[in-house]
Amino acid sequence: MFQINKDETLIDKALGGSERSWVGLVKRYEGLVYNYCLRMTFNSSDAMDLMQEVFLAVYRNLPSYRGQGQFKGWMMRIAANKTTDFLRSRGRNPLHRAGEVTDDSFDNDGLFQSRASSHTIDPASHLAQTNKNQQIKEVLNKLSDDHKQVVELKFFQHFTFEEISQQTGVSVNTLKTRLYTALNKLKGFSEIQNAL
Amino acid sequence: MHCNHQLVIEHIDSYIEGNLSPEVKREIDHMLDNCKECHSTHQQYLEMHQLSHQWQEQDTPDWHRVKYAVRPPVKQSNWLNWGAMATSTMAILMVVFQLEIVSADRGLTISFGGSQTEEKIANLVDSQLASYKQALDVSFESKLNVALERQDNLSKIRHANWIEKNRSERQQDIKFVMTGWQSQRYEDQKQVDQQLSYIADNQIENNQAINQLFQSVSNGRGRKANSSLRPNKL
Repeated sequence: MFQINKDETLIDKALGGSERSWVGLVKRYEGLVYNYCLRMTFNSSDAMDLMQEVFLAVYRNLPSYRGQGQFKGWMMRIAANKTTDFLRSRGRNPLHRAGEVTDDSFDNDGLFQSRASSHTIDPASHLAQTNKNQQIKEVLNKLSDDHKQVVELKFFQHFTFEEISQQTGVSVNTLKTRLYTALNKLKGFSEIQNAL
Repeated sequence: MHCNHQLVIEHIDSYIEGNLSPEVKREIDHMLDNCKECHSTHQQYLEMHQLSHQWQEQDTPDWHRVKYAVRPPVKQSNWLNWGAMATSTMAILMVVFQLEIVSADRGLTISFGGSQTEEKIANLVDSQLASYKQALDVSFESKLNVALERQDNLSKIRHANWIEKNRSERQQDIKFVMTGWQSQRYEDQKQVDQQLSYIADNQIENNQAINQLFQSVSNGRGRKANSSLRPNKL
């Protein structure tokens, strides 16, 4: 994809105090991070909080980014760490109802609400889209946090095992084993394809 | 059949992407055909891969992208603000209450409400003008004295130069006259000497002629009459 300003250019300007460059950098990657957080937390509110934490950490650690590797990989490593911390803290929270996938697009007695869009979307298409995403969430929800993370980074972020290893600090062999185990756990969901 | 799941675990990713060597691929193919678990894993992998592409990207809700990211502005100390506000207030009050501060010989006079009358202002202007005139006079006098003194010095210098020059000219004239006089005297003396020499020569010649004459005369008389006459010497 053609980018007017490279990530490094925006980073340099943001480090120099350019608010506009920082906003440009955030807008470039916020969709990626938000959807990642959404699939990991199953909740748009948590996803939003988590995304903000990720970008706050990115901003704070931006001076230490030396241009090693791609910025996306470096940022997703922070996202992975933040997500791990978030899921752990949520797991310790007794108020969190583990295992329940919340579809926060339908709240307040079934009234359709979308926090995401300020523009008009066809309700039917949005419903179909929401159903697909909901089913994906349900699939991912069958997995543990570690397995969910490797599935997310492998299938949704399209990172290689080496890149995932760099981001998570887990060895490649362990990641492959986790992926194999995760896929075996989803055997009962082979009907997913038919359902979709 | 005994299946080496580890081999599938190791290479399932590359197998699907088609990056395996023919030998390993053949071995994986054999396992997938004969091992139910590996076959199922392979199917799950493909389904998950397909499933991931069906995710509909969600728009990011509006949020404040710089709220936490922008460094907080440096907080300035409050005394500066309070000081600026106090100064501004004081200036406004001075204008409103027509504060006047007059510096006189006896000290400062601070008044409010414009108590300075026009007469006072006129007196003040007159005194200022008088002091200004006095200062001008003093300045003019001092400048005049300086100019006169400079002119006097110039005159003295020129007079001394003129005297010196006149004296040297007169000395040169006298020297010229004396030289001329001495040369004329020398010429005259030379001419006199020549005349005297000429006269002396003539006298000598005359004497010789007279002597010769006397001798001839005496010789003539002696022979004739044993002369008794004697010639007179000059």
